[in-house]
Amino acid sequence: MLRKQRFKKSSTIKIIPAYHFLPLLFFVAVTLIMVKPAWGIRRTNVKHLFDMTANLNAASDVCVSKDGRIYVVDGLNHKIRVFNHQGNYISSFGTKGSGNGEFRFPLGIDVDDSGQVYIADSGNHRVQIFNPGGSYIAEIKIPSKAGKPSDPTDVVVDDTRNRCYIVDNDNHRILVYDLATLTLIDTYGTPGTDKRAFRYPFLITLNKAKYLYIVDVINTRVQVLNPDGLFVAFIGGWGVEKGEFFRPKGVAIDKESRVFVSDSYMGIIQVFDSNGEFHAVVGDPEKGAVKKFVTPTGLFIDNHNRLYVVEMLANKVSVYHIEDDVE
Amino acid sequence: MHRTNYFYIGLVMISMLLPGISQADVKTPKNPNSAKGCAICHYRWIDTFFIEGRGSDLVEYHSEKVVATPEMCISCHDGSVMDSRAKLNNDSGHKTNMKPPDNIKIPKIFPLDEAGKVQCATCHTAHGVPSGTDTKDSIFMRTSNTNSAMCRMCHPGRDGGLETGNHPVGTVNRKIPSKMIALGAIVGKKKDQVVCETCHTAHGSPHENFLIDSAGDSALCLDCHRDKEIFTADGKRKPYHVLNVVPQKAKIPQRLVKQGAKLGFDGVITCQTCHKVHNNKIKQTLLLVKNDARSTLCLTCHADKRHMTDTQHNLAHSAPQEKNLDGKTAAEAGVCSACHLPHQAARKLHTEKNFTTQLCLSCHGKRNIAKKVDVAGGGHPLTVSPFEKKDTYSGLTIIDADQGKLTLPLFNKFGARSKKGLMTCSTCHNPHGTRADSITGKARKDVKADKTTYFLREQAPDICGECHRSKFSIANSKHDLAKVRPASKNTLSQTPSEAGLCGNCHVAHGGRKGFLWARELELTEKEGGALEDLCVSCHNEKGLAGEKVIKGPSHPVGISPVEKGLNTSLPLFGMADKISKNGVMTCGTCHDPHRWDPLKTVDAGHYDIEGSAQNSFLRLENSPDPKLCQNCHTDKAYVEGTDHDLRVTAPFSKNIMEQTPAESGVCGVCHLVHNSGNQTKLWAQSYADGSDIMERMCNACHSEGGSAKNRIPRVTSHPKDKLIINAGRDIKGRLDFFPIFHQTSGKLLPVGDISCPSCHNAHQWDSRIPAKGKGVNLEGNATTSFLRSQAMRVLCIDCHGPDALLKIKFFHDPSKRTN
Repeated sequence: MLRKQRFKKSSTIKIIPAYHFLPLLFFVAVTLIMVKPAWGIRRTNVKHLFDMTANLNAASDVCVSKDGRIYVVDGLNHKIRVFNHQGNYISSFGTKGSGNGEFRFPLGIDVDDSGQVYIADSGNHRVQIFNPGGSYIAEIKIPSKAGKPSDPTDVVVDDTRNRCYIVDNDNHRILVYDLATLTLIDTYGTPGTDKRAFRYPFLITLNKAKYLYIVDVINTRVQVLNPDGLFVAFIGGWGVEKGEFFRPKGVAIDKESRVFVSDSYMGIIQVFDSNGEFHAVVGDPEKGAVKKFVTPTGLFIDNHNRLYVVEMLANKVSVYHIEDDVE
Repeated sequence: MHRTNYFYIGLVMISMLLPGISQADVKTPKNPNSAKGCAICHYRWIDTFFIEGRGSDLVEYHSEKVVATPEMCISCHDGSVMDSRAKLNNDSGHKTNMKPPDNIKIPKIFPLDEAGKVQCATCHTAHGVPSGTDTKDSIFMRTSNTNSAMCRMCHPGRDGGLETGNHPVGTVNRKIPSKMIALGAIVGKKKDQVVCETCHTAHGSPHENFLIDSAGDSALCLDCHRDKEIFTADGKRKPYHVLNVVPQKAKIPQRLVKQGAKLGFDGVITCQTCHKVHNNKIKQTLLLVKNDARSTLCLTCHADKRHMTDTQHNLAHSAPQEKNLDGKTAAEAGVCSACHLPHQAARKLHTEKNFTTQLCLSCHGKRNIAKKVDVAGGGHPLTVSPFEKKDTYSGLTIIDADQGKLTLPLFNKFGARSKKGLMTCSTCHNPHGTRADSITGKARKDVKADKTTYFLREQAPDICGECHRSKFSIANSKHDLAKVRPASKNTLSQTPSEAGLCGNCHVAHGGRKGFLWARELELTEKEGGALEDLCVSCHNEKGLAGEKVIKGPSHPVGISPVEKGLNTSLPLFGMADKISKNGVMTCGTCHDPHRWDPLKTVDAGHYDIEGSAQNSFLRLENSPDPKLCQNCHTDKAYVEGTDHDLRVTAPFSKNIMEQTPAESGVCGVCHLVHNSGNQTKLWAQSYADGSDIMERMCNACHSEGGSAKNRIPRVTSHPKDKLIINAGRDIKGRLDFFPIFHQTSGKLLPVGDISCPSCHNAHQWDSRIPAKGKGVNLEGNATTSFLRSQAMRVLCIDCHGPDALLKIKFFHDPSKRTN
């Protein structure tokens, strides 16, 4: 009562006490938490161009030849689907089996500068090589390791050294093959968490300098090796914060050497700079938010700055043009 | 409000923002562990969510337990760690994310999720579980699954084998086929031990009910029960119950469906239409309906066959001692069992014909139980399509079945009805159908059958009309024996009224070769002979058509128009009366015995009218225009409309048959096709005077009293005995054709005397214009007047030099003639 009187007497200007703002503060806090505005993270926006479906069933990887032919690994159909640059379905090759030109649950793919197509024919423990029209050329049988059958999940070709790198997923290693002789010339990696160790390496790619980027799924990181197979860096780590992975799957590098990494469970693609630092997350310009994909798996970026995203459980490959970053 | 109160209210409200403790819907995990080793599956336990209670810049806050959801499982099983895409993506296997139905009690060992739904984690766990000796049985399973133990824990009613109305489990006396093993079948620990997973697989099946192979086309059942397959390895049909065809006449009653009867893809009959493999009340056979001596099982779906129990096809009445190949009589195993057993032949089948026919012949033969109804001998064609017209070149339509109107069934290779199928015995006969003498229900096995209703789907002749309707134009014609010879009998001793419209000449069974003749006749083994024989069998002096007998010179038959360089669209016939483009002429070439008038269908009685060149069963009318003759003799038809077309120049003249040109047709004025009395050119006029047979024919008109009496040449003959040689000019059709004829026979000769038709072509007014005339009487000149002007120029010049033209002009003028 006294305090009340004193207040009245001493106040010619009405001063509102701080605790009166507590409800307001509460609602602001709730709003910030619930709405989660995206201004806190940089987004690399992508503009949707088209989707490719063609009865895909659990597709896993995609690549584009220099002449614009798009190859998609249609794993449960045991085929490679071919599309033109506009995304129109052209043809397919392969069928289920273990003969030449047949597949069992293929996973990864690459195409070299001459247009030859390399398929990680996982269930047949080999990599098969085809001409651009899908005619069988050769195979690389991947040997078992200590009785454990090989599990080639991806392949990437280094044209400058005439070699290819093949991921042996179950044996946690990378195999280097000479393409002239189709013979094994080196093996990288052991099971584990250290440098040059892997736990289920999956999809891979090369940058312009032919450094090898390996998605190390259970280690939730991308590991970078130089052309001699020496450790260079880790990209990313465990978690759900920016720069962290829960289920990293695909990796692609654009002409600015930015590294795009898909996370199939979180349904996002993160972008790292050439130093491996988190740069941005792929964003949806229409929603002004993080772009959500359905189980994004294999990635590819072509010379036209197009980003190809295999959305495995959506049974499609979605194609985007990479736009500017927004804060 | 007191400011202290504001403070506390604010404190409470802020406290609500604290993570993890103020979210009402978040339940505290039992053993939360945010270490990566745990949180790699337990997404909710990631520090950001669980410790800090928030989402990140990349993903929203996760409060729900998502471990062992399909999405979490495939995040590793997509090939990046394990490749289980086929199991997870193609899977119609064990359901997840759904509540178990009320009749399934899930043991507590198999936890459901917070919503009571089955999830991957219900059966699987990555954590330590009791393991069997074989990791395949227990890896990531909550308990050992040896011999499908886990399946039986939740589905106990499916266990127990035949004794409990289920498909046998345990050791069986047949080998589990390698095909099933390849498809993923799991065999129990003992040899050939059937377990749940022999047929079902919890993951990876693209088939219904997570079967390793489809039951929708009976494939799974037939994988093991190969002996029930209805085709042999080389594709021959076995006489078993059909599979994988859509039931057409059979009706699967709703009550049977409620009992568990299933149809396969697109509604086809499968093993499960009759058998129920789980929880069946009929235990040993696993049938849905008891198979008793009343054929209840069969008649449940084939209710339309019930009437046959009262016919002679019920062997319990007609052949009570007869046993099927299962050693049972019809009385013991049911009326259907005499002919049908679902998984084996009921009768010994001998022939290579279709199954339906084989089955019929197994009784209907001289040495068989139905020897009274012997169908041996020439029979109606079987395994043919009534829509396949092989004779279209001739325009002769033997079959005119309409695909949209045909009510008779055709059968495919499965023995099932098909619009695109072929004829079998069952196309015309319904062996299960009602006979006219038994529709009241009581079997009257001793009643002599009426042939026109004898198990036929329709009464004759209507049944014939389904495919041969156009032949019905024979009704009320001279060929309708019921009208003209009602007392005659066919080979089955049937009178026309008994045999029906078609049965006078044709019988479907036991007919003579060719067109299934129903007449007693000796068939000539030559091309077209059988058809001629049939015609002559009536058209002879002692025959039914004794007044219409061919006994004089007539148009030749048995000759090939093709060999004579003639093109025709009329039908020609080969051996056994097969229509053949290169065949020979016979009666049926010019005559259609089923149709009196080629231009119109005559329904009213016309059996007693005299014919003319416009009808008389001709395939084409021959009057007023000579359509029939010109079909072969194209160049002779140029006579039409010329001075030699007596319809133009002498319409009241008559031939020797007393027919006017309108009645006989243009050709019939000069030629009689049948019984002309004159062999040469089948001459239809009397012969006049002349120096040779050809001249006598011409003079028949070009003489006093003749129809061309105003066109009589003053001199008709070229001087005789000049031994004119026409070698090189004796080829018909050439412009220089200059024929020389035998004096009496009129046959062509290479050397002889010139006669009227040497210079004249009686059928063509102007040799330069191969066309019909204009129907007006014209005055001729040296280039027209039926002259073979080109020939004359060549041949006459041989003797007469360049002034031959002048001589020809005045050939018939005695004053101008010189030696």
